[in-house]
Amino acid sequence: MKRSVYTLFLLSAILLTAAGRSEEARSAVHVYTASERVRPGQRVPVAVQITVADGWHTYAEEPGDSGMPPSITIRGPDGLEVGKWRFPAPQTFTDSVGTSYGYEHQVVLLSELLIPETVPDGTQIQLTADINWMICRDICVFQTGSQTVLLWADTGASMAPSSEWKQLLEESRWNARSMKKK
Amino acid sequence: MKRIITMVFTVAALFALSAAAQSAAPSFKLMDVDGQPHTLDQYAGKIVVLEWTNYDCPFVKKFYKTGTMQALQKKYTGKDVVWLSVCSSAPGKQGHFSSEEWKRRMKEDGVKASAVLLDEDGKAGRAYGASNTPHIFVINPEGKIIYQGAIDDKRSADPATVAGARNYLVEALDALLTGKPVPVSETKAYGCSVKY
Repeated sequence: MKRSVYTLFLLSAILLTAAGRSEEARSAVHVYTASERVRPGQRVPVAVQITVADGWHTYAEEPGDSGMPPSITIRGPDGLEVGKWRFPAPQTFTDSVGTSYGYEHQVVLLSELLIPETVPDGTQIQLTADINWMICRDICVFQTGSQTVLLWADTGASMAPSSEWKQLLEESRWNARSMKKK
Repeated sequence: MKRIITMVFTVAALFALSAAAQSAAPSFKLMDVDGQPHTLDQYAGKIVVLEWTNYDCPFVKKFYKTGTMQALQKKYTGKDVVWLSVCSSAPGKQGHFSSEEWKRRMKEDGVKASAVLLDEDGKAGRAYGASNTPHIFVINPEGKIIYQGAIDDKRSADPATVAGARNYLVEALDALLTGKPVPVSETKAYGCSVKY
């Protein structure tokens, strides 16, 4: 008897752990820049990728009848400028009270950072991105995330996009989209 | 022809929206968490706030976990305003609780509403066109809706956005209490969808 109680306890502990994990895996954010070495006074493309578990969605800039758009704050050296965020064309979601606009699986939001001219050559630049976003299914859950990105100020940097950056744009279909626009 | 159809559709869509500001507030009879009935008629002659709620919706939590909603409830019920929170969550949906759970949650958060009314079948919610939680309707002593929409202008669930927001509900109530015209009578509500 004692053993079966113990087994039950162990089993429920495992189940709880599993539930805890799936909870965490519902959504995540990652911040990317097109290159790690950046020239002071130049603009570098920046991306925020939000991934969402199956069955959930996050929201577009104009979320429609419910939901909220992601909010992104990037902090860094004095004089850092962050451009306007570009959102890809959203999908439509309909529920009992209306229509909302957003994304399943993942969305990549794009902008540009102006690296201040005053950043000394050869120094490290620390950027911290704070992101708030909403994911919904039949219920909604408010998400917050923060990520630090380290770049190097390099007056001789080529500023060529990294292969990781190119892959991100391809996978998120930003390349295909921008091609179409042109 | 196509344009006319579009126009008819647009007009129809407009009418399908929430009970418009300046229109007569639909009557209702709803039970509170103690099983006591409340009707709009019994509050004739008073200012009534209807606040559509769902305690598990992150946009509602923004106002309750920061104590903002309770402070507004306390302030305005102290000025003889009747504040009715209404929950239209259907059984089994988010925000639907047993009456014991309601009482526990209300105590835990220190809710200061005059009453929390349960609208399980969503009849009152649909009569008003409540689309979101939170969604606010302010009814004047003559029974007309003088404000409907969002509480404030920060369309976010982030608790940090409460401070510095323009609060439309406060503006409407203060105007009404001092006999001035309500500055903004209608906004687009934001938040979770009502879980009908």
